[in-house]
This record gives sequence, structure tokens and C-alpha cells, in this order.
Amino acid sequence: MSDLLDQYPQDLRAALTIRFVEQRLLKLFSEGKLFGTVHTCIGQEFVGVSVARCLNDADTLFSNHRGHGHFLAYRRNIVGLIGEIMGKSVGVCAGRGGSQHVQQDGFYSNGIQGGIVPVTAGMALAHKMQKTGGVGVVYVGDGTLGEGALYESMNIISKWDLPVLLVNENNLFAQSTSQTQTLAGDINARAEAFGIKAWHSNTWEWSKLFDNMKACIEEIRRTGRPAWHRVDTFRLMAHSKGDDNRPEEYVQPFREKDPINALLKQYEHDPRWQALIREIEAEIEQAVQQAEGAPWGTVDDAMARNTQRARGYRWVRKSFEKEKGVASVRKGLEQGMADHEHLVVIGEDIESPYGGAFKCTQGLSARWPERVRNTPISEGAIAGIGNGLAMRGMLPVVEIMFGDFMTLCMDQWINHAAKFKFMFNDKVRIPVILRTPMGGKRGYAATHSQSIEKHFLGLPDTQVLCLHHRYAPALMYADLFRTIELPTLVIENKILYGQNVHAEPPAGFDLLFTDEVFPTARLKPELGAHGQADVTVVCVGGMSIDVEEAAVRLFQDEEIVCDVFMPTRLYPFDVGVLEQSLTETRRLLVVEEGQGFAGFGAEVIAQAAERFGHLGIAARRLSATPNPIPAARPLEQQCLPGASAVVNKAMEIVREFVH
Amino acid sequence: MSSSTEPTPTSGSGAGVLAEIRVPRETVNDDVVTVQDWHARHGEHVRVKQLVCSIETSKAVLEVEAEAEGYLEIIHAKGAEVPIGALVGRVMQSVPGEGAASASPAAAISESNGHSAPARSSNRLRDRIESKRSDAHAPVGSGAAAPGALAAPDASGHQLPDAPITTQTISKKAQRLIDEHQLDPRSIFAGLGLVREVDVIRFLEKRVQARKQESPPEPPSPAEWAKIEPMPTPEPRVQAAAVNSAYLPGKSKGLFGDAAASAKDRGNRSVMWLAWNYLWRNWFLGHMVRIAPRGVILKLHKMRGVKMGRDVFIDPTAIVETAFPENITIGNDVRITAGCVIMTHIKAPHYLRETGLVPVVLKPVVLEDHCFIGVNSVVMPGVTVGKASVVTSGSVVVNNVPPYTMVQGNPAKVIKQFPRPE
Repeated sequence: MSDLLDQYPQDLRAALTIRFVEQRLLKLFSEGKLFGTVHTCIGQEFVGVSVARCLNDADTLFSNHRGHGHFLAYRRNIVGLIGEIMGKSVGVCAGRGGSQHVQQDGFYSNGIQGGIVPVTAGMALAHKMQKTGGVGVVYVGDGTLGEGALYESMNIISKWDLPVLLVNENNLFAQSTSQTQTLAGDINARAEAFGIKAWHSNTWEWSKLFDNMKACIEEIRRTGRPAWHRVDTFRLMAHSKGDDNRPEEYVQPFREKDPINALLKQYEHDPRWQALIREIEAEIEQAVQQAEGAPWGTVDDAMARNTQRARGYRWVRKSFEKEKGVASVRKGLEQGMADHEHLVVIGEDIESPYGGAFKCTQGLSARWPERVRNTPISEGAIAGIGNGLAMRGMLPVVEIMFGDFMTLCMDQWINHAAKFKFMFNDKVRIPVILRTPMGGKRGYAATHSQSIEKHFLGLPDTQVLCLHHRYAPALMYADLFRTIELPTLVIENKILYGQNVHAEPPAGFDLLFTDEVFPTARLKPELGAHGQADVTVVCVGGMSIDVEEAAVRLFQDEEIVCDVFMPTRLYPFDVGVLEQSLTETRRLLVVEEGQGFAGFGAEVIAQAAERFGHLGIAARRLSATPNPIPAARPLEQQCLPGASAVVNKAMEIVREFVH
Repeated sequence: MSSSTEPTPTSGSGAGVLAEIRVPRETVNDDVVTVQDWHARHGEHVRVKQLVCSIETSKAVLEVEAEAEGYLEIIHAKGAEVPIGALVGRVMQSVPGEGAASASPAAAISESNGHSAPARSSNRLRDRIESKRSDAHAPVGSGAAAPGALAAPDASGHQLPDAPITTQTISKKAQRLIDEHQLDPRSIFAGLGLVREVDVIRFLEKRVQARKQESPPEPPSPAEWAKIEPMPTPEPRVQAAAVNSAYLPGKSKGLFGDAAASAKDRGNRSVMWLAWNYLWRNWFLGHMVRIAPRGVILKLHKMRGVKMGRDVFIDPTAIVETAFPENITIGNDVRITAGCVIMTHIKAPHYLRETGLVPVVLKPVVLEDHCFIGVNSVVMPGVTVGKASVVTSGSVVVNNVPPYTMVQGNPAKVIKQFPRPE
């Protein structure tokens, strides 16, 4: 039987490497040389090996929190893994990612259950559109069978014929909880219900597993259809460290049955095996020494990455055609599709003739049927697909029908899109765009009217853009498609869709823009040499219309002069843009339609207090009343700020703070 | 849509109307849509279901058909922007007259339908923009690039060229002065987008100086000062007190109170009266209150003309107006402590008054029952200190103090509300 080594030399070597590396990691942990914890896959090695032996460099593989084995089987980089877990610069992500967040070439892993499935679906879609012939592989444990993102994605993967292999590592336990407590129904029947072919293997009969996996992946390559492969296995060690409550008499039979234990016992005295084992152990020892001797990785100036520091702002004038907001958005998307052939638009109900709930994508699917896709109602999954597309070189634009539904994309946005770039040591680009309209005043009530942009502000390595009626969305989108590097959330506005965007300021005001890519617009009062403004007003999104009307009324009726700023980029935001105005007025009013508590206004005022506190600035916030938005128009008007509320607030601050 | 906001139908009464052509609500996006085209001429005979009008929304072009057979009256011409629900045309029994069909597109938008507040407010704004566009000058920034293209930053880089200011917004206060002095704001305030009251005053000041240089300066006589109309009180530092008009000074008291109210009135005053007013009341009694025994002080103030109730305490070092004590009303049980100054007039130096920079103010002061004016406080003209209120030491009161309130600071602000007994 010694010919096993001849038959599977690479595979057995890989399996043993995984086992010994995991054991060495546990030892390093005991020695206090690892941060956090480690999730070992001792007992499950053959799953990773069976998959990796069928993959090539064109494929992508997304692993989960227990990904050491998957990584080593696919990339064979021992020092990269051990260095990463020890947090050293020789690690594949230079210590930024750690045990659960490993990335090299086509291998990715993330510690979020389920969320990696739509990302893999997006990568597979990219493979399909780019005709690379690559397959997307994603690991889901049996614990992940409880996650909704999995089923949203399986539905799409099957419907869109995406080349995805879902490997279900069924080790019977979710952390400490037995499957008997959490799993209803049949595992493979789940996949079959979505029309996905389901395979079944186990690691104890590993040569059969190899054959099944090979057949399975070859079928995916041949048909382009997804597959589900359930692999029964058993984790011999704890989920993490020291949290194994399974009784020893339960684990013991699995330990004896374990394929690697069996092999080691069987070939205990075989000199070839002994030589192999010595060779692997020497390799691991060398890797540990190399990692221990390596310096720590570095975090570059994170503040510089994510905020624009004080500098002089130049003000320029711009002109653009006057048109309806929705027409300008549509024009921007259309131009983007024409200019960037890797731009893809996905979302709910976006194809013609319907063209999106607000008609922003009308006509696009007729011109580019391959690149404009209707999706099922699965916001989380389509946000994840956007992430996956972006990571494989596409430029996805994901429409979320209402801003309120962004809550369903939170996991993809915060734990995936915002994390990958840094966590994977800047090796990954993720230029994904989420477009969504926010704002009320249309009678759509509490769940279709909110302005919840504040929940998306302040996420490092993302940017949040916001449309207002003083800057053409078409220009903004053209610049965005040209310059995008980071995940970008574009907040549109339902009221603005039907209003004109135009560059003609009201009489007596000058319309200026900063010379940034995403400029802040400013309605600067033309007061001559002697005059100075009374109050600096910053407004968010659709409030620009009300604030502008209020500025005109305030001057005519009260002689209160407003210097109005309308930022196009809410995050990162630098208050330095207000410096000149605040020096003059020393009064700051921030107007937003969402909730004020810990919102954008709070941020602007906090920054102003830090930077210009010596000026003795008085500040006020105007925002929605603290309750859900009612449906009836008269009630809604009481809750959401309008022009009259801006007038009152500005008068209050001017009356109260006499400089 | 109320009929009052509709354009006047050209064919007189609405008796001959067979069908109305209104803008339907088709999309959730739009409050305002555009009349893209008329497919029949004004006055043309149309049949039922004949396509008469195309309306452009943000979603698509809506085709509107006639609902009756008759003669088409076009109310909003091609290109007009109209609110949802607006009447754009009608089918008439007889051929309608001319006029409405030639209405300019820009005019249409100002006819707000009054359906909804947002629509109305945005129309207001657009209204101004339309009027700005119709101006002969080029719109701001249009010289740099063609519409639709991203304009490059101005060639001169950092320095922005002066944009031609095509229109102005004039505040209501400034407009009042402009009307009074019959000024032409466009030529006078060229280069100024927002015209404030102070801009007009500054212009008037310069004009006065220029005239003085033309003719040698001569100290103005009291009569001339009296002719200068008091300027409006600057808001909000001094607000008009809401007091019984019985206490207000007479119609034309002018700069010198009763004695020198105006040239005409002064002619009627006797020398004895002037002597009484100045020598006796303002000089003699004004000094006596500072040295008189406590029991006599109140009597002396009453002799000066201060109206006051019972149980009032006024410290000898308090100044209870120097020139117009009759404008002060003090209720019952009021304490005015050491060093307080209660003024009913502001009279700035000649120059400031003449140019209107600091107007002459003469307004009554009322101290209601039980109020307490702390040490070294100042109460400015026009102020009413409400019942049972406290002005803490060293405050300068410029606004009315509500009843049962404690104020503090310069300018005095409310710092505490007392529980009201009632």
C-alpha cells in the first residue's frame, strides 16, 4: 500500500502539511506567540486538499474563518500563513488580516458566515462576463446553513448560471452547538430546491472524495452551472481555543477514524513516510523561525488615508445643462456604460421598460442587455455580488431601490466592502458603487422615506457621496467612474429626481465650487467689500432646495445673509472648506433631513469646534424630529425640516449670538 | 387648482368649455412637467380621442387626447413648465380668441397650482431664476464653457474674474429706503448682489459728504437736526416696547423733547416754559435727587415727571433719565438700586445722527410691579421690565423682560423663570 505516496504525492504532502502547521500553531498559541485565537481544521484537511487539487490560477476561492487548510492546500505558502497569524510583515497580509483574513492571488477569506457567498457569486459572474473560464469556490460550514445570505445567493447563482462550487463542510457542530439543535430538514435538499446539483462525499473515504470533487468541478467547467458539494467530516479540536465541551468519549471514535491519524499509524515505520514527515516539519520550523525574526508590519497614516487635511481651497465656477435630476443621473449612467466597458449595473426592477422605481436606468438594458441585470429582491446578496464583481476587475453599480433597504446591505458594506482593501494589505481593489435614493416629503411613510446616511459615515476606506440640486449628477458620475478606488455609496434623493439641477444661482448669490473631484458647492452672497455674511449654513442632500429658498427669504425679510455650503462628498469630509466663511460669520447652522443625533451635522460641528473653536463659533443643528416619519403630508411636514424651519433656526442663531 | 391662479381664459366666460386638458400625475418623481408639444393649433377643430398635446415627464412623454370635439384653446404654450394637475388647454364650443397661445414659456411656471407646499415653494425659487435668465446679460459662468460640458476652472486660476452681476436681491428694509429717497439701485449698487439697508445708508452718507464739499460746511442748526427723520431702530438690539400708547411721547416731540420738538412747536413755547423745563426740571431737580434725603427723593422724581406707584425705592445714585423723565413709568413695589441708569433716549453725535448711522431713539421705559433692578444695571429705551422680574447687577437690558424672569448680562438674556403664582 506504500504506493499511495506514488499515487497522491502532492495531495498527501499537502494534507500532512496542514495537519502539522495547525499543530504547530496550537503550540505557538500555548507559547503566547499568537494574538487573538486560532481556528484549526485538524480532522478536515482533506476537504481543502480535494478542492485545491482541481483548481488552477484562473479560479477564485473564498474561505471562511477556518481557512488555514484551504489556504495551504491552494497556495502552499507556509511562511505566509504562519507569519500572518503571528502578525509579522512576512505574512501574506503583513499582519493586518490575521488567522481569519488571509489573501493571496485568487484566495480570499473572511470571518463572516454566509456573507462570502454572494461575494463569490459576484466573482463568478465576473469570470463568466470576462470569459476567463474560472470557477468561484466558496466554503460554507454546516453552521452557515442558518444564514439568509446563503439562500439569497443560491437563488441567484442558479438563476444566472454562475460557475460556483459551494463546498459544505459538514462537521456536525456550529462552534459548540450540535447540528441536532439547529438544523432542520435535509442539507442537500436545500441545494436541490434551487435547481443546483448536490454532491455528497466524506473525508474518511478521501480517495472517493477526490474523485467526486474532480468530477464535480469538471462538470461546473463544462456546463457553467453551479454545484453544491456536501462533505461530511469532523473537527477533532476545539472551535477556537479551549472551548470544546464535547465529551471525550464522543470525540475519541472520530480521532481513531481520522484519515490522517490512520495513515500515520499505518505507515509509522515506512522510511519514505518518515522522510516526508521530517521534511515537512523542517519546512515548518524554518517558516516559524523566519516569521519570528521578521519585523512587524506597519499601518500607514490612516488619518491621511481617510481624511482630507486642511489645505487651501480654490473656488471655481462650473456650468452644466439645466435638467431634471433623474435625467442627469440617467445621462451619467449611460455615459459611464458607453465609456467603461467593464461597468455593470444590477438592481431590482431596473431593466426597461420599467427602468427602475425612479426611472434612473430606463433604456440602459435595451442598449446593453448583458451589462444591465434585474435581480431578485435580495439586497444583501446583490450588494455582495457588487463586491465580488469589483474585486475581479469590474465596475459594478448596484441600485438599491430605497435608501431604507440599505440596512439589508449593512453586512456587505461594513464587513466586506469596507474591510477588504486594508485587511488584505492593500492588495485588493474594490471599486463598487451603491446608488440609493433617500429622503422623504413624498408620503412614503416610515420605511421608504428615511435619510439614514449617518449610519454609513465614518467607515474607513469608503466614501459617501450625496447629490444636491446644485451639482449635476451626470458630472459627478463621470468623475466617479473615472477616479473610483474605494467602495462608494451615492445617496440620491427622491425629491431631487423631479427637480431641476442647474448652475444658475438665485439673484444676489454667486455659485462656486471647490476644485476637488467631488466639489462642495457654495452659494456665496455678493455683498461687496464692506459686507459680510451672518451665518454659515451647511446642508445635506435634498435640503439644498429648502435652504436655498430660506436664504433668499432670510435676506429679503430679515437682512440675514447666509453663506450656503452644499457638500457633494459627506465622507471623508473636511471642515476646512468652511474656514473663510466661519471666520467671517462665527455662526454655523447644519441642516439635514435625517436624525440629528450623532449625524453629519454633529460631525461638522465637532470638527468646527476642534479646528475653529478659538473663533468662538456658535452652532445649531436642524434635523428631523425624533420619531419615525409619518405618512400623511401635514404630519410629515411637522417632522421633516423645510424652508420655514431653516428660516427660524437661522434667525434664532443670529438673534442669540450677537458678536 | 383654484380659479384665481389660473390664467384668464381668452374666450371670456367658462360657459363654452367642453373639456379641460390637465396634466395627469403619471410618475412618482415629478411635481412639475414640461409641455413638449401641441399637435393642434390654437383655435383648431379637434375630435374626441385626437392627440392634442405631449407632456414630458422625467419618465416618458405622455400623450394627451381630447375628450370632446370642439375648438382647442392653448393656455400653456409649448415649452412651458407646469405643475401636475395644471390646466394646459381646453376644448371650447367656439373658436377662442388669441393671446394665451403666445404666452411665454417662462411665464407659465409662476402660476403655482397651490396643490402642495413643496411644489409652490420650489416654484417661487424657479420664478426668480426665470426672471434672472430673461435678463439681457449672459448667465454667470456661461462664458467659460458650453452648457452640458464641465467648465474648466477659470483660466486665471486662483483669481476669479468678476462675474457680471445681472440681478440683485434687495431686502425689504433697503427697498423702503430706496423708495423713500427715490434711488436707482441698479446703477448705484452695481457690483452688489445683495443690497442691505446699511448699503443704502452708506450711500446716503457719502452723498451728504459730497454735498458738504460742494458748499462749505456750516454747523447745522437745531432746526435742521430736527428735520432729519429718525432712522429705523436697529434690530434686534432695541425693540419697540409694547406699552400703553398713553405713555408714548407726542406726535412730534423731536430731538429736544417738549421744549424743542420742532421748529413750529418751539415757536409757540414761552421762554418761561423753556426755563422751567431745563433749569428747574432737568438741572435743578436732576441734581437734587442725588443729595436729597431718602424720603424726599421719590417726591422729587415725581416732580420731575416720573410716573410711579406705591412703595418704590430709588437709590440716590441711580440716574432715572436725564432729559425725558416723563417717559418713565414705574409700578408698585419697585427697587432701583445704586448706580442704575434708566434711559429713554439715545442721542448720538451730530455726524452719526445726520447720516443716519445711529438713529435718534426716544422710547418709553416701563418697570412693572415688583421688579428689581440690580446694582449698576442699565435699562435702554423702549424696554418693558415685566412684573416681578429681576435684572441682575451689571446687566444691560436691551430687550423686553418677560414677567417672572431673571435676566443677566450684556445684552441681558433670560437665565431663570420664576414660578408664576397664578
